[in-house]
Amino acid sequence: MGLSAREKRALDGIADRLYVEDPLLAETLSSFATGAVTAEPLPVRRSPFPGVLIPVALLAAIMAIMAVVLPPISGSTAEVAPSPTHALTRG
Amino acid sequence: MGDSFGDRPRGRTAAENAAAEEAVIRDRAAEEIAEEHGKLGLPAAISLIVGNIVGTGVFLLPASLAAYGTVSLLAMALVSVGAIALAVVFGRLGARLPAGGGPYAYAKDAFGEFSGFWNAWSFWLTAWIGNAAIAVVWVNYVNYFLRWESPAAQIALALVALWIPALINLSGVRNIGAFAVVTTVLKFIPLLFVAVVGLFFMRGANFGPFVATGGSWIAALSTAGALALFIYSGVESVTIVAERVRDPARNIGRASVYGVLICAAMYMLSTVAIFGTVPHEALANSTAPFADAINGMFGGSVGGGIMAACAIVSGIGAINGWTMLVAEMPMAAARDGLFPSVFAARSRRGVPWFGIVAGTALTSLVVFYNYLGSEGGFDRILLIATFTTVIPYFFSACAQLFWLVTGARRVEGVRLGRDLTVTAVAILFAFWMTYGAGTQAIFVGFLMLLVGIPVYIWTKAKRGEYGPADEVPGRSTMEEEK
Repeated sequence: MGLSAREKRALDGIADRLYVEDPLLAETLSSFATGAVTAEPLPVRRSPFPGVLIPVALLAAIMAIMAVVLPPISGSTAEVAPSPTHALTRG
Repeated sequence: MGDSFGDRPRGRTAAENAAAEEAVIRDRAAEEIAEEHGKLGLPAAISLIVGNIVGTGVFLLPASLAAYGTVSLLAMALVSVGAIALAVVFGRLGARLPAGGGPYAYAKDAFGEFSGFWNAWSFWLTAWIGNAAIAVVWVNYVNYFLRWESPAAQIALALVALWIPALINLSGVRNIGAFAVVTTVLKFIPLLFVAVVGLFFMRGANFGPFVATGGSWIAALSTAGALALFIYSGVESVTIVAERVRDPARNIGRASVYGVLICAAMYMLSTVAIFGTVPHEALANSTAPFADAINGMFGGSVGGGIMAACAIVSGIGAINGWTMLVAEMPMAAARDGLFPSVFAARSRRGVPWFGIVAGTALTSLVVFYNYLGSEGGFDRILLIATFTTVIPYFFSACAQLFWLVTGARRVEGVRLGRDLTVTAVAILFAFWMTYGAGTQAIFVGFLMLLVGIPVYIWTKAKRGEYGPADEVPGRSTMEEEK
């Protein structure tokens, strides 16, 4: 089971303090944690429900369609009437 | 047991020690009360959002939209729905993670520190470049009264618009909040007046055709929507200053939603009122639609002066709020070692003085360029801010989606469905904004995002880090040795 962000922070705090108070011991202990980390599993606090991933896939599909179908607009004075000075950046 | 007693000064009685401890507790409580007192309450937080959203662009918006016909009212309604969804998402994120930097903190929490940095970089560009746009338009409104047309005089006016808010920012958070409240109230009175009273002067014939461009209504809707997409920029304002807000878990959400709802109501009502009071042809060619509406309602020509004064107050209020953000966002990143450390420095008044001065100085350079360089070059710089505005919105909404669809969420069932729907609308809105920024803005904006990568490398290298900061062994030791 993965650690929560708060638990990770607490452990990091302990590790930092140990480095300050006893660097030799900290280095010795850190040698046990060597090795490449390829992928960190997300902390799972509830049983996963695949249904919630459907909206994510749907969203990606809609965005892909928008990206392909919508005609490009220049965003300059030609197609969007006012100049950027007046309207494009902020209300 | 002995250690705690050993810390006490020798030669004191138990009663004296108890009194000393009580005094320390009182001092701490007083400090906490003073600190809370110096923070932004709900009204100031709402004012910050409204003040930042409503800048100077609003005063031309009805004329710009009129060119597309009344279909633009539908476009504005759609944009408003998207902005409200974004505000709700920011409210949820702010309640869950009330950390300074807002979008920076959300992206960092969800996707790692490089994403966080990119959001901070993107927003920082948006904030100081966007202020140049407001300052230049502000000068035009001031010149309604002064008629100072020479470049030197206009530069001087623009510097006044930039450095007065900078000085207010340097004077402390309470003054920033007070200035935001005053300018927001002052700018809203005439806008609200036109929005409400104008409804009683509307004529059906003034509205003009549904589609005024001659093409399809979908094309007109799309283009008018693209024009209106950025009128809610600033919706994220309170999340960025989360640490300056009293009771952030509660007030960030409320301020974000209330602020956007107030702006949405004002935008919709005022646009409808102006569409109904100014004849369509005149409105489409107007350079001062609010003034024309007032003149149309009551006759005479006093409307121009009133609305110019309103725009002056509105512009300087918006610059005040954005100057705060231009410093707060990099400060949050600098504290995590993801921006140059000087941005984390605070003055005696507790404000990030370097961020305020550096941001205002950069904006001043852009303003100089506007009056002394080429006009095309200035517009090109502004396009950077158009695209970089969207990056924090998109990442923040995606951070919320990420949280909802992983096991870390705290909502289930109907509430999960509701939150997913709102988040999806916010993401699509941010995506639409990206599209609406246009090819030129995306092109130059993306190049500026890439410029941020060497900056990221520089900050990491300066700290001797390769990889995520929390995986570098002995980082704290190294810092303390320095």
